[in-house]
Amino acid sequence: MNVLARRDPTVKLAVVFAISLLLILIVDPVTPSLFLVVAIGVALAGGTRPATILRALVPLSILGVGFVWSNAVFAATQGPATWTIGPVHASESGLRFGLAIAIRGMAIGLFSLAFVWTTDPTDLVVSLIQHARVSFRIGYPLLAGYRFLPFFTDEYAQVRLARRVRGAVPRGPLGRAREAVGELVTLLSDATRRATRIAIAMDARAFAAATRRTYYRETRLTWDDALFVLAAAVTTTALLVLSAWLGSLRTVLG
Amino acid sequence: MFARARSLTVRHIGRKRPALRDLDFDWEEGERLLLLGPSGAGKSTLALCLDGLIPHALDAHWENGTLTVGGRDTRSATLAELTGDVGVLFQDPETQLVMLETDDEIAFGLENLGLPPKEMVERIAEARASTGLGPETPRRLDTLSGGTKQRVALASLLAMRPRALVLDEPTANLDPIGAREVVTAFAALAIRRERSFLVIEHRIDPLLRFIDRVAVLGDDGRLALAGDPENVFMGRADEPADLLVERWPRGASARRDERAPGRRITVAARAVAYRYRAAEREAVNDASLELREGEIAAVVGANGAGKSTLGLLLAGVLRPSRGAVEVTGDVAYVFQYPERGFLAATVRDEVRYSATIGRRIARDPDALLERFGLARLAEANPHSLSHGEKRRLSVASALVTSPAVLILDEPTFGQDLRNTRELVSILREERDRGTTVVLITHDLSLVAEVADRAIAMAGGAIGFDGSPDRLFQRPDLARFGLALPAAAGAFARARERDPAVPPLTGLDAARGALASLVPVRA
Repeated sequence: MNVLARRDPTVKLAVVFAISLLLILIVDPVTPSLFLVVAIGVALAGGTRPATILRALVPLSILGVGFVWSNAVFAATQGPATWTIGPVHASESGLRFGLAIAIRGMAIGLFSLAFVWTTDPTDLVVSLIQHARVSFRIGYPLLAGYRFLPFFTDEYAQVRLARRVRGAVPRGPLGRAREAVGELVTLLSDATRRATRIAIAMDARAFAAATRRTYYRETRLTWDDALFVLAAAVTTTALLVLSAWLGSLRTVLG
Repeated sequence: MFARARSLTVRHIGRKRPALRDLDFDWEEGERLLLLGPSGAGKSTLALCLDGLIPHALDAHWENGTLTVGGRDTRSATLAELTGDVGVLFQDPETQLVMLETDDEIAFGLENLGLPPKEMVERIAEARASTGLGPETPRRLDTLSGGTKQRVALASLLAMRPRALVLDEPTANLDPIGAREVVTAFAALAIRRERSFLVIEHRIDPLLRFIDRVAVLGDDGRLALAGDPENVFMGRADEPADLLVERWPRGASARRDERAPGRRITVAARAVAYRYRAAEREAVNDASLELREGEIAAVVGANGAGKSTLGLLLAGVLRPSRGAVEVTGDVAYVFQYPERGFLAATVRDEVRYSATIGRRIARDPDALLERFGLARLAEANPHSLSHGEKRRLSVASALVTSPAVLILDEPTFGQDLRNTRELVSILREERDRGTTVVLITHDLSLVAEVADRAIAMAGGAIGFDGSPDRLFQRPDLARFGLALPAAAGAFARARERDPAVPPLTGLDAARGALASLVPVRA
């Protein structure tokens, strides 16, 4: 267990949430780049292999290219165009804004993934119940539902196959939409039946029947968690100061 | 007396008929009781009543009568008290586990009881020991087999130290190896007699040695008969008793001689192979076979042996990566979970669906509904049917075009004895009409009963292709993930003593063989 995996999930989640919120307020490309570098460092410190990080960055950056492109071109239709490449006009301010959004997305995405990669889902739920006042009546059914996520892709493939074999051949956009609804109804009716059975099984083991509930996994907040929050705050401030010193910090406030 | 029902009548919401009707039922403290009866007779309802889920967690009309469990009236006791007294193991391993890891799962009930964590650690160790879940058992539940998941569920109940355990068809959703795993775990508990047991099962043979008394619920939700296993199984030859014994072969050998398959080849596969996208090895490799009209072929093998993939290749749903499949006529495929292929809003439209998409209808849909006992449900939504009805509907809608080849994936999975018998008679009828029937199954009882030919797969290849009798005699059955039903074992033992006992015979012989199993009274 590395230093990141040992941290309390609720604390980690709060830190990621706070940083993401902060990044949304920033509209220059340099500041999120600094955060992205730190996010890569954090992911590496959390024991993630460089290859995994790279693989995660690929879809994030493809999404980013889209942002850059659309902003550069869209902004040029409103303001003065800086460049003209063939029929396409692009503006520098739009390009900068697009870049800011793209890199911000990558930074937030990677912080979130670093959280997911270093957090045990059971620990997360128990910690949320114990420290974030999430009701166990919500937390445990969520955990039970989480188990079924991997089944869904499999089941979806089977439902499609089964319907195809029976002769459901969607024609045209309307047909495809109707077929999609049909598939969804089948998946949902399966999911409902399963949820009902799980609820019965939980009740059969006295879920929420006694007045007091105890926990097998104890998630105690430690001084190390406080230290972690402090370190995160210091790093964030330092990055903001650095960006301001470089003269690149721009926020939505101007 | 541990539990006692008097004139108990319970009706589910939205149903006209009570699930339990005027039930008088006794369950002694420490007794190991086997509860039998056809699907829909109210067995599971009784299980839900015994641990208080009805009426405390599930709404149902409690129309009449009383039920006391552990000296408490279940309607006035709390759910916490009742679930502490009675633990229920359900049928489906996938829908009774809540957590992601084994120890958390076992702890779940203990947390609900509010036990201190220190005591949980002790109880988890104890529960793991008594269900054989050693340190080598993987932590994560999603990596466990169905049989091992059921043992984790059992351990989770034991940790709560209930006075009684109800096992509601604990092996119905498992393959033979998993079923054996659960039966072994149950046997280890039952022999120690530390608590009362109520077992609801269709595969009863391996359990009989651990049973003190048998109770049978009838179709109407009343108690049909009860007594010692010997009396119930040996003394009565009437219909209720006839519903009981596992369907191990009914004159299978004799029948096979009567009919030879037709000459015409309907399906020919030549060295077909298939690899799923992103899979490392081929799911099916170099499988060759020819199927004829009027033949029932069973494809058997362990999970992941490539049975279903072969079926999908034969059906033309998957295109082989190598090799070729030739089919004369059209193919109908019935999936393991029939509801996934339902396309219409009513049962009648479901059967007629082939017509609405322009396929040729060869049989009268209404006559099929009649034949499959679905006529009274014609206007119902297919998704609202029971397990057995859904299966029958899917077979009926497959037959409406009178296909040359009918492929069924795990047709007896989760089905009771009567549904299975109906299926068997339908399959025989189809064979007699000249249809090629392919069964993909784990159920060797079904194979013995109805198949003309067995095709056993291991690791994607066909390892055996011949008569079922010859397959059952092979010492390397386990290579195909197969295990003979206990009744077949009893046959083998009976035959060792008396060579006059034929290798495969009927129900009467099954009863005879059961008599040789002396109940253990520890």
